[in-house]
Amino acid sequence: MKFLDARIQLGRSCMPHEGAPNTTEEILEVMQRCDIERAIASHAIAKESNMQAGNEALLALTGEGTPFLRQWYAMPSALGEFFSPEELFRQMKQHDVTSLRLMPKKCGHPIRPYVLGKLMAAAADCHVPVFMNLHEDIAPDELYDLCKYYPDVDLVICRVDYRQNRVIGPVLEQCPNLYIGTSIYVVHSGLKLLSDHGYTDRLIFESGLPNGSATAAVSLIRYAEISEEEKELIAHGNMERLLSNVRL
Amino acid sequence: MELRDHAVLGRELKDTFVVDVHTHIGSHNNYQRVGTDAEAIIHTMDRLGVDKILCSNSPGAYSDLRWGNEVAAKAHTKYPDRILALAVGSPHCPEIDWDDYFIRDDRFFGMKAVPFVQGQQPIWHEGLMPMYEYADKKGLAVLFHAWLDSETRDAIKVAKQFPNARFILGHAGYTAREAAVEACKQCDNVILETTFSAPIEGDLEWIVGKVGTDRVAYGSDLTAFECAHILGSILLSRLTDTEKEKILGLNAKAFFGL
Ligand SMILES: [Zn+2]
Repeated sequence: MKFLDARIQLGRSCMPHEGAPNTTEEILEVMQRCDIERAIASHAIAKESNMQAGNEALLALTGEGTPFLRQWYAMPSALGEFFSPEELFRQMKQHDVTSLRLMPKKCGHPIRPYVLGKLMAAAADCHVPVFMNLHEDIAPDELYDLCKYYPDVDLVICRVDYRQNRVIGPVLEQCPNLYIGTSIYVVHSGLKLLSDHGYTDRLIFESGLPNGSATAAVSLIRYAEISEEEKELIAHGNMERLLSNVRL
Repeated sequence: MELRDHAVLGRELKDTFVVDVHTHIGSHNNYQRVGTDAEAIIHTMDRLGVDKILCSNSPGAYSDLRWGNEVAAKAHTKYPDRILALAVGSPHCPEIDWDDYFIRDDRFFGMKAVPFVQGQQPIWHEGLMPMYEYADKKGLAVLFHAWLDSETRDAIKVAKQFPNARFILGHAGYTAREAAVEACKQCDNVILETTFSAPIEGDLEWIVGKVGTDRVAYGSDLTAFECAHILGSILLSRLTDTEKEKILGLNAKAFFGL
């Protein structure tokens, strides 16, 4: 089974964790060990300090000749501090950036349409999936509103932990645009549970390297008590389907 | 077939002795737990190739200990070779007569102390001293919840004070990893356990590099959460098969005389 990892971070972090794969070479070694053939990558600088600089730095490390698909960070831009949605998507097309990542909490902006409406409308037009991490970027009880505000945007929520079933259950049921990243969804038999409830198509493999464990994340899927076909969907098929819809 | 191939194929370990030193039976209100009864646990163990588990009751730790410990004991009675029961203690119940568990009742293998969920009490607590004294007298295994640095530092004090007891530091090697290294340096009667719900790549190799291959044992926190992610991360790690075998079961076998 080959994997498409929906969440990898490249670039030097301000706080590298001792022992973790902190260089691109080390990340590539782990990917190889885990049969991760491709990965959606964003840049540490974009997350930790400056979006534009990080997004630009990402270009040199990713794209053709690498296993990395490009993901940019974005924020709303009413007063001109970031690209307008038109300019952002023009640049994404130019640089083959096929997904976006938001950090509402860190960037101090609400998720409501009066703030994110224009950016999300552009993402919906181009079928560009939008990623966030649970807790770090968005609170569990904001998930439902997020999905309802932007029903035409595919929303990939990463780092969903083992304590969230009472939130994600209702949102998965009521919002077909919610996708769950599996990196730390370590509910005992959790993938089987979601699969038994008909949500296999909504599960996306992500490792979170270098701050997560790819060896653990691939093992959750490989050892899940679900069919091989379902494992293939979670490992790469579902994310490939979302990316194949992108029209920049 | 190398050990890593089992994880690649999602296949159970057949010829490798595997012990999970940190598991729980029973549901709790705090979040949805799945497959928490003895049958579901055995099913998961069979699917992965886990031979034995050390198992305590989870909800009982937060509530009525005797009720919870009885659940673990019954699971042992049903699966005596597979499920070894740990009796949970509490700083709020120093009056427990441990002979009830280990003399008049022969269904228990060791003890578990998780005072953090019993009013955020410390491991070094007057109310727990009778429990540690008993473990010391009988040479019993005691599993600690050692997530915090302060819990791990307390565990070092306890392990030094009660050298005949055998202490497992649960969740060691992650948030309090420097303290866990210190515990291994200072105390021969301590072994580190590998559970984490959100591990970081390379943490296993890091801790093994610091304390050696003989001081780390596989544990998962099943059924509080899944066990396959940690098992798989050991199998897919950069360690050799000999090192992996020690962590998966041989260290626990030697440490507890299984
Ligand atoms: Zn536990």
